[in-house]
Amino acid sequence: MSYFNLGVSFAFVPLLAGVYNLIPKKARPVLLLISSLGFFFVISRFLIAFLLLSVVSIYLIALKLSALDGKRDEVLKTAEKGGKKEIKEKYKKYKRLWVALGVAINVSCLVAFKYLNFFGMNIYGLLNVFGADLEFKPFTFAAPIGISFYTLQALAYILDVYNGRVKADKNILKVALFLSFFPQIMEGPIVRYGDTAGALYAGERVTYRNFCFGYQRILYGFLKKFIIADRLNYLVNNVFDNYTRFSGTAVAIGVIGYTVMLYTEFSGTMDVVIGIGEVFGIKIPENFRQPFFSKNISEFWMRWHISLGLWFKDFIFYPVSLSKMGKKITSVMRKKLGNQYGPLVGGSIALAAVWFLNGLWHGAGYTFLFYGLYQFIMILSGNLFEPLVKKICAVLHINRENIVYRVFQSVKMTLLVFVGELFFYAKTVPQGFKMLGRIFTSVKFSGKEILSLGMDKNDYLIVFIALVFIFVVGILKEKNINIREEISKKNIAVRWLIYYILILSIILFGAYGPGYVPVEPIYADF
Amino acid sequence: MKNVLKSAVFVLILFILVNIMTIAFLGKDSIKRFGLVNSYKYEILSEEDDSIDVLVLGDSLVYSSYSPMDAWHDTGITSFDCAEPAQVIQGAYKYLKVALEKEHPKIVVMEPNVIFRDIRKRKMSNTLATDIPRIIPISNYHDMWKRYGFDGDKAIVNVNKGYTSISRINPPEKPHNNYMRKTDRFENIPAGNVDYLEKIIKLCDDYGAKLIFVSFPTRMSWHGAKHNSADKIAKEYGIEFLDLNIENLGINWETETRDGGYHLNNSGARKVSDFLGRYLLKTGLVTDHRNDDKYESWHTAYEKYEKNLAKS
Repeated sequence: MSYFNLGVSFAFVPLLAGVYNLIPKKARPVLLLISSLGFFFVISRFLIAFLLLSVVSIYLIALKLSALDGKRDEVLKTAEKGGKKEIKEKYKKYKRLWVALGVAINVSCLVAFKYLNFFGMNIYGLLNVFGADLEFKPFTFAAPIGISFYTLQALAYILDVYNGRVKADKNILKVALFLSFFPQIMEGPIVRYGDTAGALYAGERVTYRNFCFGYQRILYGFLKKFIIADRLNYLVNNVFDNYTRFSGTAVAIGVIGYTVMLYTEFSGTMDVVIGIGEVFGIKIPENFRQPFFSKNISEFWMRWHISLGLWFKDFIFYPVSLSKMGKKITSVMRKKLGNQYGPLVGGSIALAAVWFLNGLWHGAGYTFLFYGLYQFIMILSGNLFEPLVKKICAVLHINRENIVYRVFQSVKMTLLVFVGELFFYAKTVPQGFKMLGRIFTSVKFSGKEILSLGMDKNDYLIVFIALVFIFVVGILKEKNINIREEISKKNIAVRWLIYYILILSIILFGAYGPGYVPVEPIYADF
Repeated sequence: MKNVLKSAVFVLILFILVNIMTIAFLGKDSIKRFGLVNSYKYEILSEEDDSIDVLVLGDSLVYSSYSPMDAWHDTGITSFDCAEPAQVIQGAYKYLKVALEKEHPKIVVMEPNVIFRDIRKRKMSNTLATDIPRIIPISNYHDMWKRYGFDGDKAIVNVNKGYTSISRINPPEKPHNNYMRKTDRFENIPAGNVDYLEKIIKLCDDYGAKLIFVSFPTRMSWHGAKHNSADKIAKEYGIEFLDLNIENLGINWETETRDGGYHLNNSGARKVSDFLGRYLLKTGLVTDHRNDDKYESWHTAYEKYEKNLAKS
């Protein structure tokens, strides 16, 4: 199942929107909830029990946290001045215990489904090193769809209630809808309670404008997926599976192709997800913001899979760097290394924790851990060399805001991203290194070889044109031009012409049917 | 109301544009020559007149088990899967009638599973995805724009000849020990289906085609009782019956099914196609056309078929 399934986007969603409008306002969120749970059930059947467990656990724990806050405030009213700090600490401790319980329930489900085999294999391997003769038999069960996404969302809810960012909701249906809303259950974005819960439960009518705007966005996602990602799929897999048979140039094309495919598939999915949300008047936060225009890897991660980055920033980076230990390290290092590099140490420890968990979140495998390590090293080097680069630019009188320098930065950053994604998709870390080595050691250019990878000249041309189109749209967005608003201001003939060109392009140039293999939803596996 | 009307006009114009695009990219001559207007419903109409020697009628078991292109590669016989999802015998008869307007096959193969499907209880099994090519015929031939691009020598040719290529492996969850176990039971044939069988027999006689029953390998949709009934009715009407479920084709149900034993995948279908192709050739009713200039397009189709297969 995918949001690119025509049945989902062009039959289920419009039908649901129609029924949604016909029923009373109060019943609309219930309809959305039933549809969302139904959607989940169709894909994961009785594993829906784990989603419901998550809903119930965060609902009850959030209420408990709220009750503890209330009780604490009551006690504080009558407490003596000197004892207030102690009371606050006591309740904080209670609250932490409840949060720990919530985290344990939700994370244990995630670990059981996603990491049991990985950890089991490694523990057995380690024991075998010490002489044990054990054979690990991997478990073969399917995980509930979107468990990596909804678990982070569930944890965010508890932690946001704990931190007082949102109030615990007394309505379990609202919490359930927030966690299970069907467009985002499979691949995110990982939204926060304050982002969508209110709009989801408001039950506002589907308006003609929202419907049109939503479908505009859905079509843009289809264009990315059908014209680019699906066209590249065979080539990419052909190169990654048989890289020893190809020259370095061909391997480089495969590696670039993978990043392009990943971006168009994932951001295309987000377009569809946000578009479906828009149909129902729900503003799902953006998950991509022209990532390839970034100056460096650090900025790239603020523009690519934004919701995941924010989650790690709020719940891993800040808590680690602002913890007692983190603060102590920063203060000690500041004294030893000075104000420029001292604070970097504490921040880097928090950053390492973020990238270790980020790698692990993407999957139980060494390639993902290496991918996290790579991103960490790239960001850290960027931070360390920044003062030096600044000095060099000053000496050479290079204006860092100059367009040429900006393009240079983006190209450099993009090349680093290609390398990262190469390890991300390689079957093993050594394979990643071998492929990387091949790019530099087997340099030869053969048009015949490039055309044998799985795309003909016409396919390359279409991918190029479509990428130019996405690039232009990206530039306009960077300039804060709201293209969709601009289009909506045009007269009906121009508007419709644009839509027709978009639809007919997908029908004609889409890579579907015999001879093409569609990309399976990449992030749904994470 | 105004918005509903506006949306309807939008869809109507889109429909017109899609049809204009079909004509623009496929060319009027191509449409006429290949019967493209109807071919989205009856794919066989995209074939040249009088070029198919074997028609294979039936349901998904046909288009999942028998690849005319593989049979062509091995034996040079020209065949076509005239199959539809959950085809009922009435549908098989209709398809045969349409096909016979253009083709004069020597053999008509019929998958006997259709005899057991109740016409009155036919489910709406077609999904939106399978309906799209019917609504938008260009979607089946959308790559034809490449004729106007680089190396634009692509002739319009149906590559799969009705076969659905799927390489996915999905073995059965549980061992199916009763598969083709001998039994004295007979599967019921719904009332009215025999009338349609008689109509098909008459149609084949009128066009001089030999009717053969061929049951394709499936662990979940075929069993001893169905075999007994098919065998009984075949004998009654003097129809040759080949049950590939009891032939030793060497199907590995762990690796050669795409959906837990209901249908074969490409690997399983290759075995069936090789076997059936040779079986049909042995009848002496069909001939090897591989060296016949008239069938040049079959070589082109096979090249594309092979390429597509490698990709899937």
